[in-house]
Amino acid sequence: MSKRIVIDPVTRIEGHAKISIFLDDEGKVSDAQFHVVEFRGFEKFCEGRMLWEMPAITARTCGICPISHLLASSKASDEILAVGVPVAADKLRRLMNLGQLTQSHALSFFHLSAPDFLIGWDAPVAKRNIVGIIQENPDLARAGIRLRQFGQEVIELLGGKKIHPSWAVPGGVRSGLTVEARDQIVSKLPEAFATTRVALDLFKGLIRKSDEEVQNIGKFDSLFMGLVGSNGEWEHHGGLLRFSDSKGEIIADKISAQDYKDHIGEAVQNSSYLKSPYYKPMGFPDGMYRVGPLARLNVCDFMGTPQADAELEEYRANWGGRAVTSCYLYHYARLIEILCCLEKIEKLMDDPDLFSKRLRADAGINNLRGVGVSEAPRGTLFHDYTVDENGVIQAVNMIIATGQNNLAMNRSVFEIAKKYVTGPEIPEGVLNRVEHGIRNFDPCLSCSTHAVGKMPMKVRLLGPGGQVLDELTRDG
Amino acid sequence: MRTLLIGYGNSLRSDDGAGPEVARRVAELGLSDLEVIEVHQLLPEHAERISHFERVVFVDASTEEDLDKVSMTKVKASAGVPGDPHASDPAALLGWSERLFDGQAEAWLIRLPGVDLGLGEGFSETMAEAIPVAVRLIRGLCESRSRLRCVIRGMVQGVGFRPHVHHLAEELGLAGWVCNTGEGVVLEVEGGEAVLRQFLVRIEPEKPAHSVITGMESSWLEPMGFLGFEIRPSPAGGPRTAMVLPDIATCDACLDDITDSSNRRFAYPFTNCTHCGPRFSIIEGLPYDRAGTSMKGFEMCEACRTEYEDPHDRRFHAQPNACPKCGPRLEWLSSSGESLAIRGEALDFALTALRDGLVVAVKGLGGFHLMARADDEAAVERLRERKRRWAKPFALMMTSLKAVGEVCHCSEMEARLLVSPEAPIVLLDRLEKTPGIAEAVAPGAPQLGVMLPSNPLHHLLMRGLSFPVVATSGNLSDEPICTDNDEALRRLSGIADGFLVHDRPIIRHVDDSIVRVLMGREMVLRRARGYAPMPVPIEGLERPVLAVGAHLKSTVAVADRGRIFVSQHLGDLETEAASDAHQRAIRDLQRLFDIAPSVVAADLHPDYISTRLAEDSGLPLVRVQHHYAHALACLADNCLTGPALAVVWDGTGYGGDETIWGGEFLEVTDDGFERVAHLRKFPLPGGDAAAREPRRSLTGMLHEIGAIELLEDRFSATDLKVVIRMLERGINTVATSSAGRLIDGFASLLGIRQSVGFEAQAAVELEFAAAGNQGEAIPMAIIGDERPWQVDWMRCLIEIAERRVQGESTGRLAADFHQSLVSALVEVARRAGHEKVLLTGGCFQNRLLLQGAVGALKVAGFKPFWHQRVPPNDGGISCGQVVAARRSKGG
Repeated sequence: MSKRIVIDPVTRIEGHAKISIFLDDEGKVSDAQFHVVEFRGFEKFCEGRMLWEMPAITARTCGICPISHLLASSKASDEILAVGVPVAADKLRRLMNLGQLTQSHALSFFHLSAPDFLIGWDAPVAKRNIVGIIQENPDLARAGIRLRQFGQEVIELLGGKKIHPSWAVPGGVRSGLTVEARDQIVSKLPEAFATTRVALDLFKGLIRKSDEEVQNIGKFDSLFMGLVGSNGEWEHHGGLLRFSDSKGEIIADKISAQDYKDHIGEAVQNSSYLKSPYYKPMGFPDGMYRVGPLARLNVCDFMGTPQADAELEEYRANWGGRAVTSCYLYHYARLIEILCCLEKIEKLMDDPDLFSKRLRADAGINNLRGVGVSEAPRGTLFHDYTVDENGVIQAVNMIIATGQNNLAMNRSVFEIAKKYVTGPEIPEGVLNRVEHGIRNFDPCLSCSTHAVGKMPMKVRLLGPGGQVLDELTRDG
Repeated sequence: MRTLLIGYGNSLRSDDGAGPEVARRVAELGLSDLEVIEVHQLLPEHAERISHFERVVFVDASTEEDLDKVSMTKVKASAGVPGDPHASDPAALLGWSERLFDGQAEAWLIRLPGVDLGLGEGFSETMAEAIPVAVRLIRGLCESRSRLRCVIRGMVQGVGFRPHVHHLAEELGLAGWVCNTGEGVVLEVEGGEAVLRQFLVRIEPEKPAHSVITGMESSWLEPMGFLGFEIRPSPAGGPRTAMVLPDIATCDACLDDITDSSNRRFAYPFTNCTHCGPRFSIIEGLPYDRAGTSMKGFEMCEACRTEYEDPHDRRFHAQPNACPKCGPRLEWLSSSGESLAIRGEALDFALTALRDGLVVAVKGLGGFHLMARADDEAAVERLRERKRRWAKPFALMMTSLKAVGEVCHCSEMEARLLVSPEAPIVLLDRLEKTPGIAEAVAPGAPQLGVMLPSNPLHHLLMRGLSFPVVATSGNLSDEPICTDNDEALRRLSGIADGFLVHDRPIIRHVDDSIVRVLMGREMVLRRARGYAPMPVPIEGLERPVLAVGAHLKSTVAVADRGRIFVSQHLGDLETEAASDAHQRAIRDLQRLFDIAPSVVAADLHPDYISTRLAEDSGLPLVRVQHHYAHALACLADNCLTGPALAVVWDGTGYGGDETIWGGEFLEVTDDGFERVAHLRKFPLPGGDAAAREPRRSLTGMLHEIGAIELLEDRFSATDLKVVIRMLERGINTVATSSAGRLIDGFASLLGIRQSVGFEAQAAVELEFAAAGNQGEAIPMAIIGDERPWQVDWMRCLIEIAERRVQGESTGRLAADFHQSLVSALVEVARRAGHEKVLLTGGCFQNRLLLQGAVGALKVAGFKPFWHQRVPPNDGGISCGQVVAARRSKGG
């Protein structure tokens, strides 16, 4: 007799998402899937537009990480112009991306994930949210919001207060930093550092008592991918792609973005409309890889800033060296990345190039195809454009971080379900862990799927014949 | 109030981009104290931002099914978590702002109806229409706070009306109070002006099931700083309203009766009940019962009497109660007065005549209308020719609110007025194309005067027609409206092709009222049907006063015990008929309100008929300078006390110093006034002819500054010689500081109009010419150390003349001229140094001038006030004279 289990929906990720857990004849979990419905319409929408418009248009796809799209798009466009951007423009783009990483990670940590580990796994859902944090620890909630705001200010000081800055352009950027803006950033850095430090200490304290979560909330083997700098350092905007495995071995290195198709395949699964990229040489689904903070810390040799490097050393020493495989540690990795971003921002503040007037390389259409890659907060983002001689877009392919993590998210849910789901009755604490398994990845589906109106979350439990045993929907 | 506007949505998702689009458009308005952000979605850090503001307005597209137009609701902070994890919702953000950052902002959510959320740019038709509505709403919200006082008459006590007001005020976040009084329900609510307007348009549609509103007048007053909302106990011993009410437009229940073929009043044009029907126009004297009305000649039938005596019937003690069996009846008379048909057949005759394009005289409640189909150029031309009214726009009676919307812009406020119990003519901006409206209705006019049927006869007429009709006063130009059948036959013979009359006498003529919505508030331009004789409150009046008004657009007033009763519009006192009406009205008001005046107030002008009449009255006389009376009328209308600076701009008024005033800046205190400044004077050649010929004003202005060569060929050589001689020798020439004439002069300069067909025509056209241009002020010097200072328009005149020669557009120059006047006005206000600035006189019926002045004064830190219930034109003079008589130590 098949069993039917109801699981609360994933409450704190964006997009139209569904989780299905499959039971076999013995009532054991046999598979799990995280489905998202993707609109392919956006890539179609871009066809026929001018290349010059692309950074601004693609930035409008997403309200969470517009900057990542802006930068990936600009880099793809640079390739089509066949130009190198001026030194100052590269630094300014980096500065903006550092702001983006900081604000996005702050949201994920303080706002979306912290309630679980601060309020407690078994607390009722009504309490286990940011309001709970506000009640328990208002200072932390405030600090988290202000850290996010700091990142946002860096973006605004460069791009203006426009909804989506059309600041980065093919060949460079439109404007540099002003001295006043620099001073404003400098004045706010100390608080940002302090908040990050508080969060790191807090998390390191919690994690010592959280071995169960580390072991069970998505610990599995996979490949990792991310950009790495020319000296093997952590990278977020330049550099080349690297794959490593769960033994910490580098299995492919120095891959140019233009060649991504030789290394990455895109499978389409019926259960999800989201493309599932995989590492091509290992085939589907064995070529499952993870991107994002956890992956970036695994593939790099070192961070490149003193405080972050010290943290990286401690992190690796305690949690698996060059191959940290528990998804629960995505949070930890995020905090180390924030620290690294702040250090890099601080260093850039002394760089006279930021005030340069030489910011943009002019050129016409010199290549008919260009691929841009940038590290978005959630992982590597690809923009692949084909244009005609006039710069009119003929085809667009975008690979987003959440898509690349799709297989790993399924696996994560599966591992958690396998561990905790043993029958139709599941206590809420277990459901919370399933949700959290997804939340570790901080999936943002707003660029692959847009939140229009209410967004119901569904968790379904399916029997061996594919029959729906139970289904629970919570309105968005 | 520091306001943050957050427009959110995805601009790549069609209608979802409405939030940012509204934000972008509002940002372009450059409103003060407003910060605007456009975002893709709401995010936690906005909580911190919000905490720096006193008010936050969220703007979002919504796909909720019940939302078919823009909605504005107050947001209460929630302790919850938004459904969408990465984005927040307004209530949650507000909650975080309060809990984490001590935010105190009041919050509003404006939702726009989203139809299409598909991938793409641009908006659906529904959304495209909603966006400007939302922008206006926000603009209104950012306007300053105000206090709105409403006096609501009707069946409004014991029916849950006060709780209704309370609920609506709470929902809109308004503070204030409501109470029952002898007059009905009186309430005051305080808040942002846009919200107050929402309140105003929602009171009636959402009223309790068993309530009936038969009248509602509102005043915008200075805010008091109310906290919370309360239902106050009824004041003991407040003034009982005199039982003289205005005529009330047909109520829905009576309309149902006359349109229900099974009802005994089906198609009966004299149907009424306690909630509607004639009052002021049929009352002979008090007490108000049937014997004291013109219904006394009609014996009620059995059925009517039963209704009249049944306390549960809605016709219980409805004095004009009538039915086809016992009441008045229609009659159709030929142009020579021959009776051709009665009752329903008479109506059919009238309908046929109108359909055939004939001119029909229709006896309504307060007098005769002349009607002709408005879509027929020849019919309207015929009416113009016969009435000898060549240019002045005609008012229209339309079949429905929907039909109005097809030819005019009509806001919620304006729509409310059209269907209100007062049912005035509302001046509306006409659409670019007005299909079905003959050009001759309002040649070249930017507005149309529009009304809806307000009595059963008009309803029946309009239901029988598929087109609008011109409905103009049944009179020869400038005479009072006809009321009597024989009189109409005599005076309107040669104008009307037929007469639709009835046998209920009209005791006093009551014209249609005219109202315009300016700056989001009602401004009564002609106070008559529906409004007269409802009083204006006045404090500190210790003796009964009679005021005889001015000369044009005259009204009279009596006042006692805290109330000023202003008569209905009486017209220009140019004819014998008019001065008869004027005298009747004086007797009438005294008798109706039982006031025996101990003092009479009149204009300073020695030759006004009204002044002479006052002199002959034998009462102690108080002579009130014309512009001072305007200023006091404005003060009373706004329930204010001095000191204040009154900017009084009109066409003409006797100054008492051998000059004609009209561009005045008066300092009004509790004791009197001082002339602080005036426009630079210029000689006006030809006396009254100058008002009809703007080119004469221009000639005088050019003569004054020694630049007569700029006159070009506006006169023939012979005429020019005559005019110049007049100026040089001072023959039939008088010096004036009139703003109306100055505006005429600039209209002439810009080639807009050299002679006019009706009062203020040149000014209206000059204002219209400026529309859509951003004006820039040409500074006017303020000359003199001693008061009165002179505001010198010379440089402005020369510059505009030069730029015109250089080929600059008339529109731009007209806009610059208006802006110059505004900026000069503000400069004088700065020098005078009074916080309160009154804007009064006929010139402030000009929207451009009023809006410009109010806006600029606010920016400069002044509190501007303008007219509401009391007309800014000479119709308000009698009211101001009463206030002056109260103040005057003499008499």
